[in-house]
Amino acid sequence: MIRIAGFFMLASVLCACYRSSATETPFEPQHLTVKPAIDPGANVFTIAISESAGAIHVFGAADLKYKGSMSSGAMGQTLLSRDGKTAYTASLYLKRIVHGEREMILQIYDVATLSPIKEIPLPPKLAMVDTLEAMLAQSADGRYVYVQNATPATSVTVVDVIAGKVTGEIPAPGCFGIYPSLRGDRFSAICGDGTFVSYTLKADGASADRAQSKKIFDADKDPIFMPSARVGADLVFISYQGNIYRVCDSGPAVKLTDSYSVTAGVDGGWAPGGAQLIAYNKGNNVLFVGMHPNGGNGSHKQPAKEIWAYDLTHKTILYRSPVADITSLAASDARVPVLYASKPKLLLRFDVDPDAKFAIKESQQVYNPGAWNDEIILRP
Amino acid sequence: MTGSNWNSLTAATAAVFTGLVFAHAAWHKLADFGAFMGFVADYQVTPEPTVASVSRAVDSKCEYWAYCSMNGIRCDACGGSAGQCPPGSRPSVVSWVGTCTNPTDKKAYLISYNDCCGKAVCDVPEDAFCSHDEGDRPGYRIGSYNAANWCMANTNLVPGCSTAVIVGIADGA
Repeated sequence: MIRIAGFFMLASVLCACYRSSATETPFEPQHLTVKPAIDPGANVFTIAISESAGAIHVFGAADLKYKGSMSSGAMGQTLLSRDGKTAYTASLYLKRIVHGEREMILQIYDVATLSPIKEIPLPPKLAMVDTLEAMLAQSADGRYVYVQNATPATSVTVVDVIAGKVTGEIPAPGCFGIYPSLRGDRFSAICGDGTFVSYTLKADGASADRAQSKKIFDADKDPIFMPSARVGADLVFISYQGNIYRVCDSGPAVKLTDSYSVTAGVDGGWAPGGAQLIAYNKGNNVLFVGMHPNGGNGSHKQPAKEIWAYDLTHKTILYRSPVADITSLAASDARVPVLYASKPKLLLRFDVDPDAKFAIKESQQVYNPGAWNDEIILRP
Repeated sequence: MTGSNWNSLTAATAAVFTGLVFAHAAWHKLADFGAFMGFVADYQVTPEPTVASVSRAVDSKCEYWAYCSMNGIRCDACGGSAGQCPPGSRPSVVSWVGTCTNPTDKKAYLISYNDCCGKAVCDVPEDAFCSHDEGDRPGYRIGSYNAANWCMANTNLVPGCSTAVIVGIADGA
């Protein structure tokens, strides 16, 4: 009896609803649209490399909210313009995905709409290596984009992105990496004999004048990592043994300006390690370094067990913050900095306390897509 | 059938099933070991009489001594072996070279780390990826650089897995 009563009640409600809707505005179906642009604000970009299709993932710097992605080809490298409005990738497209005719292209994207806006064919020589900032760089004025090649013979392709064409290939035998100067059309590369070679482009961008530095480091005993920090007019590198190498690249040839150990007097065999293992905070002249204990031959990719905040002004360790297996770092320039870090599948945000000697405290972590994700780029 | 009989039957079934699983695993391990022993003999890593014992001392996973600089998915988990590409793939025509010490004879050997090219990346269990970096240098020493796609000079550019081929004795060893 209760069931019958319930049935009549339900039927009467449905009828009432039907009569009500029949007299009101007709049903309007929804239409699928595309969000025109990402939300405004500073961004954190993480680079996911793949043997098939790569991606640049975009997160809000303030809250790590995922904003979307830009897609590239296989085994690519990524560059963000200084204003964060334009992205570039140099990557590989194979006709049959895993084999077949190869095409390497420089793609240019509008970050606001996460959309490709131009592509420029490249010579099929792109260095297919782990993601590194020094594999794809732009000249001081942004006109040229430099692409690292390795076949394994090493060279740099010069692309005029305004004209939309390749202007030349600069041979760089025995040298690797692209470190653009702050002024002019010049870049430097690290060489296997411990020197740097600087290439100053000629006006047509087709060739370059070459200037080699004196020997700066020992690639056998104390090789330097590829990631660098731009500190004033200098570039700062760190070595496997924990030595800072500070070089000036404002002249035709690179010069060593300073070199010292960050680990001297520290017990435990602590050594730098990871992928993008250093991050510079301009507001306080502090370098954050990923460190692991018991360093030795082959330990240089070990994820960090501590993040050291190192004062480049007074050459002292400010603070050693314990962390869990961090591989890459990026720091904001602010007086009260924020440190971003990655580990497999995760992007993390750390608050930094200048009043507590730059101790870091994790404030957030989010899923970071991609199997290989070792590069973090911050842009306004 | 009583509750007691059911329990006995269940226990017996579980025991037989477990036994079969272990027997299968043991056979599989023996078969793997045979293949690996062949590899050790082929490359004359050690004198013939000691091949078996040396092979036994070597873990066939990432702990194999010649993987001391292996940065990639080992081909022995992908249908090939430490010195053999899986069927249908092509060896990379260029490679980087590391130096590893054989714990048995204490000699340092040159190891050519070639990739096997032209197939999708071998998607096998996590322990197939070896991340050993002894002697690894950044790309400015490109012949000692393990973080590159060494199919770079092949027609088929995609690296499916990585090998470690013992190609010589290092100077001074």
